[in-house]
Amino acid sequence: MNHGDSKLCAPTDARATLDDRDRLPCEFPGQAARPEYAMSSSTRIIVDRSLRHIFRIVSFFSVIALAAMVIFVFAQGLGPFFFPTAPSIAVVLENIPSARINGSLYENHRRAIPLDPEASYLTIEFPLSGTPTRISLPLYRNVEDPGRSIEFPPELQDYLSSPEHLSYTLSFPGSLPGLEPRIHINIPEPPYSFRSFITGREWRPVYRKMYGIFPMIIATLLSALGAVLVGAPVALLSCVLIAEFLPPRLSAAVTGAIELLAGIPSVVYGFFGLMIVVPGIQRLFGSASGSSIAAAIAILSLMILPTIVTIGVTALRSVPATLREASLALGATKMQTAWCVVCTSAKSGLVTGVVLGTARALGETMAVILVAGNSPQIPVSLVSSVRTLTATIALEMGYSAGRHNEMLFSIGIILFLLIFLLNGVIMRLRGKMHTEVSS
Amino acid sequence: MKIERTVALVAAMALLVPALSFAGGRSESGGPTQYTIEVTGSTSVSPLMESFAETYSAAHPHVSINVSGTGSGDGITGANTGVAELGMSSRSLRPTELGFGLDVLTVAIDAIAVIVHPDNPVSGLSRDQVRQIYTGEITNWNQVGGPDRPIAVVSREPGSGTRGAFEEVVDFVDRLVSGAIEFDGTGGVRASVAGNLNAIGYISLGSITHEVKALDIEGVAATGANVTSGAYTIARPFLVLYRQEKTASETDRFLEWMVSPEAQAIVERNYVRIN
Amino acid sequence: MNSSPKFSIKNLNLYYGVFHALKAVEMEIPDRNVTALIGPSGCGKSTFIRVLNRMNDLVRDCLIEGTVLMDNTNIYGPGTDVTSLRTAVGMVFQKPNPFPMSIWQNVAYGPKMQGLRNTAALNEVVEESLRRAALWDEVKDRLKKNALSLSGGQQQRLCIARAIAMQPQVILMDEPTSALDPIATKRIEELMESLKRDYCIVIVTHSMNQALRISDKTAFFLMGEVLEFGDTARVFDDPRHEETSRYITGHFG
Repeated sequence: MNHGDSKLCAPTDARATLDDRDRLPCEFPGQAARPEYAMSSSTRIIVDRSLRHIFRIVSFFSVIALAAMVIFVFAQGLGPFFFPTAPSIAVVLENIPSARINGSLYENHRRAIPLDPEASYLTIEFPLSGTPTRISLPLYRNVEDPGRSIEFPPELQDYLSSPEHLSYTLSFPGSLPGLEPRIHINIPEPPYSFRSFITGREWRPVYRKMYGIFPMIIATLLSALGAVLVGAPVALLSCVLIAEFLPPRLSAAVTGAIELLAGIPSVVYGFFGLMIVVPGIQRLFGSASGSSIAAAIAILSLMILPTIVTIGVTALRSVPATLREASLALGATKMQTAWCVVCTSAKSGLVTGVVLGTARALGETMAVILVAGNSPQIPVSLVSSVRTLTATIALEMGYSAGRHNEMLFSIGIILFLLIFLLNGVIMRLRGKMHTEVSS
Repeated sequence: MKIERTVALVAAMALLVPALSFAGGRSESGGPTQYTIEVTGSTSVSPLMESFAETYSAAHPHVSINVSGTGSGDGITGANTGVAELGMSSRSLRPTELGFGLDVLTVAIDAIAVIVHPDNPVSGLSRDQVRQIYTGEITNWNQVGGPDRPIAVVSREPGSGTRGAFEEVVDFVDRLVSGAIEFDGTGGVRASVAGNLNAIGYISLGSITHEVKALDIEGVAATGANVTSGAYTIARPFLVLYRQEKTASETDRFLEWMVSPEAQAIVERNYVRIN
Repeated sequence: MNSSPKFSIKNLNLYYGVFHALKAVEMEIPDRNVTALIGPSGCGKSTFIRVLNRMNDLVRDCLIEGTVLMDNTNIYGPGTDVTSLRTAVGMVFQKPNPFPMSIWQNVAYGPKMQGLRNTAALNEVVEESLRRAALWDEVKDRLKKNALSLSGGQQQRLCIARAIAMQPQVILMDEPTSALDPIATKRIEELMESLKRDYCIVIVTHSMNQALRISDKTAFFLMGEVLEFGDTARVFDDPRHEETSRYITGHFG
């Protein structure tokens, strides 16, 4: 087979497989079919195209799955800021078999009875110990304090209690203990202001229905920042040691060990923190408990080490050996070479490592839950017990209902935005370094 | 073009179908009458429900019972939406939850024990003292007759059935001192108290181990007998929630069995029987 | 011409593990001259040039025997400071390898590492070195720009400027033009011509023409041995070995 023919044929084939997808490959004129090649060129085209379609379908599904997740979180999490928890006041009857509410009769009705949003009175007629009783309560719309949208006359105050904010219960003496007739009146929570969500300092989601996450935002940022301040320098020093100074075999062993460290489930770190770090901090500071932001920072800085080190070492190792040679040939020492040439050249990779480490610290949940103490307060000292955003979601998801549950999704949105912001930072830094290099 | 699309689609399906089929429900093996009851909810009720499930399934091999302890809120929502046939709750229903119109069965009474480290010399507190500790008015053990040590307050997370019941009975609803340590699950609170000489916490009486010490409240020890007699007052019901009109006959029989003497004998091992 | 040689190499043997890379090399390299090292790939000429500034120290399992005298001092003797040796013996590599920093920082790098911190002094060194490397006029307006934005030929001249900035006595060049186009090559060759007035230059090259054009002495390496060493004109016109003549005329390599 002569050389010239195959050379001529190659570009034709390449074009057909790569971009000219609708034209079938034509055999090059004068190029005889070669039976010793098992795969004919048309089979090859079919395989290539099929693979391309598989890639498309698979990536389509993953994009759909991701989009569905984001949409779900946003749909759930944005609700509390736009809609009230229910369209109108609802009444629940307990141990009252038959009652007439605003004229309609309800027999053995146990579900919530929504009122007409336009109603200006709530009238309940029911037999109490045999005597027909009528309660009439004026309703007010568009009042500033939703708790005042219903008024209870003085004679009912003895029966009235408010088990939680915006819920009122009228309990009447009954024939049997435990079977007292009760009327529960639930006023819907109005849309929650996004501002009080972000800046509110009280997280009392169950009874007082206050959903301020400011302490959690602060705790999340502080613990991540602390972890990076402690962990990143250590990690960067280790990177330089591993990539520049350890003999190759030892360096490979250390890298392997650190990669293993990256694979340890976070709950193991948390357990280590709970057993060793938390009592240690308690003894060190003489505080009531060692579950604190200091413990969280200690564990997080340990956890982000492998992330930064693996990425950092890869970045340092990818610096061309010719640069090290050039520096050494100029009479620089190995240490000067490592800092001034290798680290400078690998800047972008090292920054990526630190940013990814930060992202890990921001997103870490299990380990933090075990050591941070989870108190939703703004930390005033290193031994303050704190709760992060992720910890709140994980702690309360199973126990929450209604708006409380939706608010956990809102926290998810905040986390999403935080990570988004962080990615923006990394993109910018990268872009900046890139222009520095290329301009 | 068609051929390639078909090939690709078939291949993609071959990849995706096994993945999807994992999500598809319970197996039907073991005869046509096999029935699985899904029970979800409170982590405090779960241990009892698991003993129920074990005993009941042993006697009724065609019924298997899946218990998942996620939280009281989950149990109530699950029973309401039909995700689980039975929901477990360790607190009474809140006003909005009453509006779901669920059927409620009380299967046991559980005392909530106030626990400290076994080496803590304090052996009893009044109910007021417990409240003052949890609202931050008392911050040192020497204010309640103990050594001069700060108190580490350990609580459950908001929404927990145990926390709701405890705050209601001790009367400090949503007034937990800022800075208190919060853990999800009984085990977390117990481990935290067991590891800290300064700590005070509260857990279900049925979950007490030798790692922690239960305090007397108003001079009354936290025991089943004292709960039955009414002397120990920090107690709450264990509830099972369901919808009468939607439960299967197997589930109805299981519900009936839970209040039978046989089941209540199981309750008595760690909790307080009803009636 | 200077009478005493810059380098005088006696019975140099070099091993990479068990591989005997340089065998009993004897050579005297004169100062203020261009000495060309030629020979087929793998003959040891690059290894030899790296002996002169001890870059082979970085290679593991590399064993060196014999003496290499530079100005009558054994550079492999005890007490030799490798870093100060390398400041005296600069090196330019086959591929241009400027640091990913600004042009100014590239040239100032060496003096800075030696502890020169004064910006005015550094500016002076940078300008002087760039001028000598015939690059100043092209880059004087963009000293703060990244060195990687220069063309290949400019980058190589920058690398020469970087070496000159150390005020070395010797410049080693390991195939400095093999990655460059003919015009850039020509500029580098002109540069060498002017540099040899002040420096001892040792160059490894694969181009017979280049060796002939620029060098005063030529050494022909084969299988780790110096087969022939002498004035370039003599080596090319009247080789003493048949292998030399066959290599020079392009019959093997």
